[in-house]
Amino acid sequence: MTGKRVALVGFPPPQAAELTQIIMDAEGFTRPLSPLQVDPASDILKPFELILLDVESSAGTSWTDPEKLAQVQDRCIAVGDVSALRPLASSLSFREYCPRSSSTEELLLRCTLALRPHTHSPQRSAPVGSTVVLADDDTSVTSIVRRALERNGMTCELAATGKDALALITRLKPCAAVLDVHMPTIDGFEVLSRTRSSAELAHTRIILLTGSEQESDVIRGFTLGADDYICKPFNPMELTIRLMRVLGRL
Amino acid sequence: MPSPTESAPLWGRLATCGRLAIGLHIYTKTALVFLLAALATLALNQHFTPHFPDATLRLALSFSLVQITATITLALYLIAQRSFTRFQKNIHDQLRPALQENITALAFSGQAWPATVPKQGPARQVLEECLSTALSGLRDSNRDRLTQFAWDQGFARQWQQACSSPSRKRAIALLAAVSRPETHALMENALADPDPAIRTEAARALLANADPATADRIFRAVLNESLLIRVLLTADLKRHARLLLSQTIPSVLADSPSQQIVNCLEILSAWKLAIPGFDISPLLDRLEHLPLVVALLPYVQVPDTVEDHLRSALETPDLEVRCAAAHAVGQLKLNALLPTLLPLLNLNARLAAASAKALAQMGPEGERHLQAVLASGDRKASAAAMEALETLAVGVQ
Repeated sequence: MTGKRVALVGFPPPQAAELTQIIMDAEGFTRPLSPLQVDPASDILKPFELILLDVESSAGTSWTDPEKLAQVQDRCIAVGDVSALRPLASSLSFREYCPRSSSTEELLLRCTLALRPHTHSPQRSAPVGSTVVLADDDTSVTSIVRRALERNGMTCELAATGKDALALITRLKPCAAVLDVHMPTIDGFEVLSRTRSSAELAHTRIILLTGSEQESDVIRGFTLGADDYICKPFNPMELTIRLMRVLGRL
Repeated sequence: MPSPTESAPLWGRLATCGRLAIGLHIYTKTALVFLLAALATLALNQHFTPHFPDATLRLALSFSLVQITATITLALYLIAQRSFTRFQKNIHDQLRPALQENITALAFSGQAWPATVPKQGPARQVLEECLSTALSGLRDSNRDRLTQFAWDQGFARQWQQACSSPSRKRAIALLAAVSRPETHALMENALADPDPAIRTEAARALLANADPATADRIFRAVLNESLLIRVLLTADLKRHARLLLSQTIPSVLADSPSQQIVNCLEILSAWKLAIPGFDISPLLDRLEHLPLVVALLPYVQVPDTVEDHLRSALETPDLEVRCAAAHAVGQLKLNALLPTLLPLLNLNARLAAASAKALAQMGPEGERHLQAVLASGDRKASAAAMEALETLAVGVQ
């Protein structure tokens, strides 16, 4: 991947300058352009492989016409506060969502992942039911995530070890599983790999919980068949958005 | 009176005294046990005199009895200790769900604490444990609510008063999560802590939201740290790279002891960051820094003389410089230097590997040369070429 062009739409000048610097420091990107106001159907955006849109800006709030948006949404990353992303994610389908509080490394990683070609797997059946397995040895976090998911009509089953998680996934055949990478007995990667090797569990969507900025973990997770990832520390609402997105229920 | 973490140098001295005291305590205790055992053996020996006339038998019997008693006492002590730990764990396990539920409600929806917040005892310990894991796992508004709670309920004050090294390290990490202006001075003081783990934690916490002056100060301090700490903090320092490159780094490179310059160049290389406008030419004349400076060449605005510099670096007798130059030639794809690079394949294994990797990075022309080396029959060069071609085939650079 060399010289990918990025447009920054709607970001106020100081933030655009900061993002420009971050993107220029990363390998594989050219100097981004930052038009403040631009129509999604505009020809200006055609040469750009990636568009970062500030959804809370006046430009972002004006991008609501689904027909016009269809021309850019598969290469557009929505950036904003989680509370602003939540309603947006339910009405529009962007390529990626990135909370404003994300670290530089996470933003760049999301950009890099968004530039990868779509990997559709037509054989994969749609997720069924509303049971989610949450596997993390940190019970303080799982109890908060559980509450967030239950508010969205999901049923949560908790596991504190990789072994328990695998047993629960095999028994319950949930629609999704949220796996911490580092767990006692079997780690999250092993659980992911064993789940993916079972044809019966092909419909189960998997989100990995990784330590912050562990790019190698994320790449390994995607290689093993994870559907998305989220870095710790995280916002439970962001996890809910990502989970609903992989389940196709937004 | 300043709190322990606030006066790091004083703590350093106290910690040394503490360690000495612990050492002395262990030796004293061991000596005391031996003394008691000897006294008990002698007393029993005396007691058995009327019953056992044989002195050897008497002494053996007394010694055995003392040993058996000591073993039973130790076993009872261990059982009691284990039972107490289990009992404590049971109490904690019973308290945890309710406290965790309250923390969840607080973090998730800002719901007020339903009962009195425990001020001491096991409930306080469990609450602190739940609070600290939630603080380190969450962010945004969820963490803000917990931060306010930790502050209001005196947890932050409790963490500021942490004494032992591990608890101080944990306290710094938690105070960083709380991130209040009131804790800034404490973090600054922790930068001078005698424990390197605490210094690292404090530097990391401060770098998360550092102003230019703080970033400058931390960067200069990190240059004097061990390799491990420098590695741990490289990514955190990279967030301030632009600022450091504009002011701090030029001043460090111009006027610092040689070791600090080496450390600074190592950090620059690890950043793998394009550094336009950074003048590296004055450093090319300083032999002791040459391998690192040559390794940096692909990241700086390449001067017209770069080919000449790299050609002479490839021909220098210094192995480190030659390897670094070979890497730089590969990264810059300087095909003009192929004739100088090719002879290195037949020298030692490290140099052969570096130049083969450089050739693999140079595109079809470099690849052709590697294929030719494979066919040449030179075992060392062929092995290096094979490895480079394999790397190229799997797309790893």
